[in-house]
Amino acid sequence: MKMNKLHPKAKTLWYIYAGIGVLCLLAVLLPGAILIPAGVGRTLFLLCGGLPILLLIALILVLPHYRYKLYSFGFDEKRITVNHGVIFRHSVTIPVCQIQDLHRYEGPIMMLLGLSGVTISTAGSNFNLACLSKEEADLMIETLEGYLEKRVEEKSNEEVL
Amino acid sequence: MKKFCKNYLYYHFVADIFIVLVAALAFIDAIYIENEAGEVLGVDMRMLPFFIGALVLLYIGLIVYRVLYLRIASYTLTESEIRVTRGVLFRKNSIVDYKRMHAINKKQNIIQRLFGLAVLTVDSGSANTSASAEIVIYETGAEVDRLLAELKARKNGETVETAAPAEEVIAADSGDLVFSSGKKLVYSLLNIGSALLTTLTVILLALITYFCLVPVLYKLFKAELFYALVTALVIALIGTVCISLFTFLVSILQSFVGYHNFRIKKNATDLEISYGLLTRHTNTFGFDRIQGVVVRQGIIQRLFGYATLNLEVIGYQEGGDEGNNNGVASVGILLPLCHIGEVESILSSILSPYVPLEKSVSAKKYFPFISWSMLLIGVIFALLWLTVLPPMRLLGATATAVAIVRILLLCGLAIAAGLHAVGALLAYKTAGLAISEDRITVFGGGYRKRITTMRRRSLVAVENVTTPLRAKAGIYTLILHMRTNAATNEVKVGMLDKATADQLLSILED
Repeated sequence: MKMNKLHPKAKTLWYIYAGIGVLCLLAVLLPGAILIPAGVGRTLFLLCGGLPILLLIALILVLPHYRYKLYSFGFDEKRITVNHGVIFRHSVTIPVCQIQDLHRYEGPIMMLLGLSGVTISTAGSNFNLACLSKEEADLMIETLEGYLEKRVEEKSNEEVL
Repeated sequence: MKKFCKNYLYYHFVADIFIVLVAALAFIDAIYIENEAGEVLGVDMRMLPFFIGALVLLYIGLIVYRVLYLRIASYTLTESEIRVTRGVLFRKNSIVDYKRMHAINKKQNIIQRLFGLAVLTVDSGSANTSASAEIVIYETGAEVDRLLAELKARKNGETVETAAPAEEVIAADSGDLVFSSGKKLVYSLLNIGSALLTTLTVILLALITYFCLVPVLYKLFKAELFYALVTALVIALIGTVCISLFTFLVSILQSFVGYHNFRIKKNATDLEISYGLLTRHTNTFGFDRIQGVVVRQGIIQRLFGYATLNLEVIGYQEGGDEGNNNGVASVGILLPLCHIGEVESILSSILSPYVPLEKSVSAKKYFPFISWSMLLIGVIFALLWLTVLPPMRLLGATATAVAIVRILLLCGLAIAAGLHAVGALLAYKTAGLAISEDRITVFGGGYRKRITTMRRRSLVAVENVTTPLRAKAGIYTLILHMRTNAATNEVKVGMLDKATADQLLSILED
């Protein structure tokens, strides 16, 4: 099975999400650092709250690069495989014949970047495939629908035989 | 199209009074006059008419809603499907093919019984609607029993006359496999034991945290605020004890009232499980709709050799009302308590395709079970250390106080790490997998052991999780995605080898 990478703009999207996360963390840290009078209190605040938050910010800013590097997906007539995760590497295999329905989704920032996600619904779980171009997502859905019809036909023929 | 029975309205004339009373209790503060010290001086007569008026309006609103609901709601049984129309603000037309029905349930609480009303719910097994049934019908108890029999027969392509009668497998008061009063008592005691253990652990950790933080808090805050914080902690501890006592009570009620007259019946195609005194549940589903059986053992149950049997059937979940579990899906009960040694014989007599297999593959290494979580515990304690000890020194605490806090922190770390290490050891000993031609058994859980037996065709996806180091050692955590309720469809088993992961993948492609 040929494994594909996500659209390069995926990294941009994740950096934007990371930026929003960083801003939220700074929104917690900065008012405290400004409002607490200089002295023991501020030192304590920066030591206890600031250090972990700064470490977290560094981690958030580094993660998108590795996330993109390690994300891959592929599909053929029988199955879909998605590999993702930086420290914990997940590899999901979904048989095409288990697909219940396929959805394409776009968030506001994804729309700005011309990206789409695909949700693969099975009878038990939903799996998301993040950040393809709109055309890629449509093509994937169309191809998988074709494979699904073919697999269902094959299965019903096997049952008849 | 047939209308819901009018008893629905009479039932709500009474049931809605309870809603109004709850609303009254929530807003009763508004009509009292209090002085600055918070003492009640009397009722504010100016507010009283508004208060009563609002409650009357609420009651009238509820009744109007019920009347409209009753006028709109209707159902019909056609040759091939059941159709229901309901909803006032949002109209819902539901159609479920008889052959696609997963679980057919009857529920009747004590007030509904007084009014001769019962609720029939039918679930199609769609994962998207697993938290609430698609079909809900309010009818008289007798009519619901008739509908239940008719739907069961139609599901199997039969008529009520030709359908095979159900045979009783297990009853509350007779037979070999009994969920007797004795077992109900044991069930309550085991639940109480578990709650007690949890409460004691929480109290111990809370006390350690408290003694660690006392010197810092006393120095940081003025005495008044410090005592307020201490009071808050005492209140939290009292709250924990109260919640535990409530849990004890609920546990006893659940055993004797919730599982009153517990019965399992079966015929060639269906299984029927009924229980409950205040709310009587009658759940029916075909054997072909059962996706798995879960044998659960909490730590106390494990110590005394007991287990709980659960069923994985979409649409069969414990709790909730009117087919709606508020989005929280819990696994359906098969048998609340039995000896672990009885599990095989019980399942052989009720659901032979789900007898757990012997474990054939076990977890490869112990270390991965604790590595990351120990690291996390270490980071949390390091942060605690950093936030407690240097500030204490900065605030001029005595060396003795610092030493005591340091010892307490180390004790806390030792308790948390020890508890986790034991849990991980139990998880390591339990983790495993067995695969046969027709089923898969997954062994997992630490303090709460869980043995899930599913049919091979219930497996919809396989996910393997590893880290670069684990991948080098050929160790994978496997997540099996089952065809069942959305909240319980992932079964996880830790630290197995690549060959097992590949074997599962080959099953998927069969």
